[in-house]
Amino acid sequence: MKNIKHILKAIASAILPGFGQVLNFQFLKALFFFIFFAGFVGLELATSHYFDEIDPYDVLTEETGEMFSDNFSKSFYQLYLFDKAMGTVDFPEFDTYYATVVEGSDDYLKMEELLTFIAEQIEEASTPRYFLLKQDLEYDSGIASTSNTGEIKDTDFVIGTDDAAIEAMNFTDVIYGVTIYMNNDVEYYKLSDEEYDGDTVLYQNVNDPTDRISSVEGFTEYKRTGSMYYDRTFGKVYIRSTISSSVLGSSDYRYTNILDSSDYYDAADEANWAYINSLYDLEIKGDVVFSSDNTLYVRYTPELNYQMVHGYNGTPFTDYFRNFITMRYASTQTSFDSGMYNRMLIEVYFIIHPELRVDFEAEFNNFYYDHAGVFVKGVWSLITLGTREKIVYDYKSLHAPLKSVSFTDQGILYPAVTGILDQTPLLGHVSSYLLIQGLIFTILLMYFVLIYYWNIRDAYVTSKKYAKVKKRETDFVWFKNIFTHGFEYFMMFPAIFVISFISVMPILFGFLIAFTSYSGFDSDTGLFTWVGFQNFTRIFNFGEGIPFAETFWSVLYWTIIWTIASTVTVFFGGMFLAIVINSERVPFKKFWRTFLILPWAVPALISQMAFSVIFSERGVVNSILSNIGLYDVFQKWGILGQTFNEDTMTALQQIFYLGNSNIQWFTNANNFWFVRIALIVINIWLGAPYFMALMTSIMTSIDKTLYEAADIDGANKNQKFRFITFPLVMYSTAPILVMTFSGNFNNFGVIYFITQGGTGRGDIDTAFAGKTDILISWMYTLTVEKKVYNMASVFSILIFILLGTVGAWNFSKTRAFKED
Amino acid sequence: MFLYILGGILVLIIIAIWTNFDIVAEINEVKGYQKYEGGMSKYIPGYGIKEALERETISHIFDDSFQALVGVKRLIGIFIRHLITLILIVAVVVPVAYFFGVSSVFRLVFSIFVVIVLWLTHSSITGEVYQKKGYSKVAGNFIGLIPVYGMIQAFKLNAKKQIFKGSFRAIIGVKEIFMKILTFGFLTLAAGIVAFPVVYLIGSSFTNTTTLPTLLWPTSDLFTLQNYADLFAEDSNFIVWYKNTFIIAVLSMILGIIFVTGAGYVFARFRFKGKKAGLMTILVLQMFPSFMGLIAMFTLFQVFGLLGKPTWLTVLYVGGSIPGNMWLIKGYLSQIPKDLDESAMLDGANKFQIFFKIILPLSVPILSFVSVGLFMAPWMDYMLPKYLLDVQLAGTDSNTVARQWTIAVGLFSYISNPQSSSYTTFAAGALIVAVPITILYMIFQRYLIEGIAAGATKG
Repeated sequence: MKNIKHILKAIASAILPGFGQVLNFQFLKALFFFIFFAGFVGLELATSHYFDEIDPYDVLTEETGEMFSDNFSKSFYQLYLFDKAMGTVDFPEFDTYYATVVEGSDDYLKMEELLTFIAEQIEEASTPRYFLLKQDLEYDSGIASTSNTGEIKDTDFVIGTDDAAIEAMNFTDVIYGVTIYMNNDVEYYKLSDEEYDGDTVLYQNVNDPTDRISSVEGFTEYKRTGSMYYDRTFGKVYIRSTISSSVLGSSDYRYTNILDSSDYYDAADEANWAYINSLYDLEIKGDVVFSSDNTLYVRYTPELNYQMVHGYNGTPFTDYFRNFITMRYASTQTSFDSGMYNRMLIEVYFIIHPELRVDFEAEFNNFYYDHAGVFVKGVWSLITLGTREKIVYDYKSLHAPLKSVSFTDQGILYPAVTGILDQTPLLGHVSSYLLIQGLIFTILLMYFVLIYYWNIRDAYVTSKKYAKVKKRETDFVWFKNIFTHGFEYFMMFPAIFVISFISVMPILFGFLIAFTSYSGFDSDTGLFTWVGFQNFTRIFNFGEGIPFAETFWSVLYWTIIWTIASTVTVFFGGMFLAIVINSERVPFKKFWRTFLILPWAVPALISQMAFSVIFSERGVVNSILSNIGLYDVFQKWGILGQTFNEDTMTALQQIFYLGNSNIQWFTNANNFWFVRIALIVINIWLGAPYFMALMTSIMTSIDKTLYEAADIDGANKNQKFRFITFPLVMYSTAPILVMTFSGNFNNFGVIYFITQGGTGRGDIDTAFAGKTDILISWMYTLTVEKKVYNMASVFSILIFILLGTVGAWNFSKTRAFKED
Repeated sequence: MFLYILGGILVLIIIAIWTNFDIVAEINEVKGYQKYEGGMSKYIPGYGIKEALERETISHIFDDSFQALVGVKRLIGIFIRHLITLILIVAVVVPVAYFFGVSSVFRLVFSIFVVIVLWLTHSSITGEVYQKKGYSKVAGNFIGLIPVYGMIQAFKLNAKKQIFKGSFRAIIGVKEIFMKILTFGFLTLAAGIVAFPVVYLIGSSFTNTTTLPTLLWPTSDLFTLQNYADLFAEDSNFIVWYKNTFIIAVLSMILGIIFVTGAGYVFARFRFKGKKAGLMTILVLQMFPSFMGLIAMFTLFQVFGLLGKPTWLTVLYVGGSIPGNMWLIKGYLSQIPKDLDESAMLDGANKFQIFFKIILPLSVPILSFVSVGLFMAPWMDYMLPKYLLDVQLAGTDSNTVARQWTIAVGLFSYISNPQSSSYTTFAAGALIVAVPITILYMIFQRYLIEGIAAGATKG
């Protein structure tokens, strides 16, 4: 075990970088490694909160600001005492509460305690229950509404305590917001999928749950709205429906007794107008239901919002408190913003729902996410992609008792606090952010790991070398060596560093999301997870969900055809042009060459956009074609000027169908091959000139003696072309041909700027691909517009595999590769 | 039906006569006769060939090589070739004749076309006559640009060298003139097609209309300069786009060069651990669709709050351009002989000095090529700016969004929305962007085209 000493030193370095070097008596070097290590640990610690308490409420956004301080409750109490002394208010309950929570002379009412009392008040006034509709209706200018003050009457059924009685009442919901089918004055509605089993569609009597039928053929159809009307005289409630055939105009309304479908009044009948006008608009905080004996009740649960009114009820005390805040808001001495108001609302919300608070405080105090430093957090992010779902705390139901309203007191107008939210949205962990941060810091970690490895190896190697030659190089020499030998790395470092974050990291990111569930409109700010190869198998799962499989193969098919056709046409188009220009007959060759290269010199983006204008349906090409009378010919042949119809048109007409009123170069939905061919032809304009220029220069540079020798051997023109020109041109242009091939495969510009993907783009039936979309433009739509990131990424990987193979093969043939 | 059959038979007979005629001429030539020997018989299919074959050979041909001229395969080949030619001629002549009769526009365009083709043919013939007579062909071509006079001048010229009998036939023979017309017809057509979109774009930019211009060039009552004035109006976004793009372009050119030169130099000049791996990595990176990084870029920009801030795109252009350009520079520097470095090293220069004093001055051509490339990229890129800049930031309105764009996104916005398109403004803007680039490309075309070709073959 001769090596044990060296290994021990290496281990020493592994435990504490630089320690092995110290054992080797290389102190400067030790310091060098130690600084790196210290930097790494320092960075981790500096960015962490390992030893800090985390306040989960810090995750609340700006709009939900700070909590009111205890001074606020203190001054509230002082005002209360003042007002009480003045005799304007008196809340004995509050006095009792104050006496129990405030003990001793130096204690005072905390904000927390005040809000707890308010929450109690609100809860007391908002018992969830069933109550009789008619009992306490109040009438005011054509509106009938329940007071629902929170006082519990004997006839009420409190949810939670009188559950057995509620069960016995057998309550039925009033049906509205659905299509109603009526026959012989009996109304039915379609049951949703959850309410029945089996495949047959069932319709249920709106008044009698036991009456179900399976067909509504020949029934009258209309839609029930949620508006209800009250007949004060007879205590009947009517619900309004709109006849679906014509929803415009009041004359098409029908008012139906919610208990009896045969009792209805049509607004179309003038005789009913007087009666309808006598009905009261019904506004209720709660849902109207009826019991088995057809008594109308209201079901009230405070968490829900009803039409324009919000669930919870207030008390005089909450009103007093609310006005106090509004008053303070107007005061110039005390400043607070709507953020604090929102913070107070969510606090009350949490007091009412303590289980939500527990959940909130636990989840927003995640060790890795909230405490760890960048590196630990980075690795954790990569592995888990976050754990906390996005959540919304909807406290709109608290608005009725607590939302600030403007009021006038002693002639002074206090305006309401503005900017109060309906809910506090809390970002959970955002997986996309976590993935990218994870990648960045993992890459950075790699750099440190590299230095760490270097440090261990150095301890081992130096020690071993010393054992052999009994001599160490001094630290100075070592640093000098690093500088001279490390010149290459030093020069490359900026580029490599930039590449690793701007090139490698994004590509890695793009690569990794192919293995996640990253798609959908809220995925940008939400969670997604690792799903393995599931996305890859989707391209073989035909007939499931969004048809990615079918579309992928058809798009790939067209992409390949496009690639081959556009490359071949451009290549041989260019070659033909070059041959013609190079022919003996043509004078002013330079002029022709310069003129015909124009399309190459014009920026492709501009010419592609120009083509989309030129060939648009009302564009200049169509106008010229119609002017010279080509339209007449096409119309005579029946391939233009009539709507596409498979039954009346001959097969030939269908194949050559050009469009309806104009030639639809890029928008022909019925004959997409026409559009595709048009694209390929237009691409010749864009691509051929480059090859023309390239080939004329190759052709003129071919050694003339070759042709002379061929002349002597009696070769004719064709033979000279076939055996001299063509092979030489092919030899010089083959690598460019491969490049053009790759370029056309990913030719986003031609497809997107000219056709924008063609017809059908954005349809879910074709997985958002249009008829002329090639893979790259389809991916663009998927990413930018539809946010189906994971599938787009799968396709990128497939393109990479396809083109990478071609490219690598092509490159391996070049001299540059063989030399190195 | 009967008519069709009759027509078909007629076509077949014409082709048969034509084929027979051609082959008889060939046999005659081989046998040493005048091409069109043999009286009326050469117009009779089958019989003409038979008679020609039976004619006595008067040239010094030792075998019956001319028998190969009448093989069945060859006969069918020539037959089909003639058939196709005939169909093509009909396919061109019939529509041309039809539209010539129907449309005055077509009559005008076609007449111009014919005049140009004849003019070019005239010039070409004049040039060739000049050449035959021992004068400069180009001079002849130029003289030939003057109709009629040029030709007269050419035939009046005194020949400088001896002219063989019948050598003019090669210039003004029927077949040759037919080929000339075909060639110039094709070239004129190609030139027209090439010019059409360009002329249309220029024309539209001067057109006064709110809809799509449907004229190639505006009539005088529609002519306006307003589109250009609009672009440079006080509240125009075009200037903002131009400025945004220009800043990005300049910055990415400067930064890109700084980052890429050192790395290219190192890869070209030194052998070190990880070189091959590094080169391969860069190569693999290039093969990923640029698109793949797009999503990451978006997230990255979102994390750092850079969405909608055009200048920051520079970072992405610089990063994205490093791999490809590094290969270019590496390829170029590899061609500079290493002896230079070595002799400098002997003189005591260190690696930094060699780099700054020797390599850098020598690599000015490739660096300028790369700089131009870096400068151009942001002007013509659509995907990145559209995705990263077309973002409405909190507290801003839609017009602020438009002011974040680059030129490519802006120009496309003029035509992509059918409701609010402004085609003529688009044309004017497109021209302002395209003209400098086009001129630059035209001037450096030779260098650029061969440069790309060289890059592809040498790496």
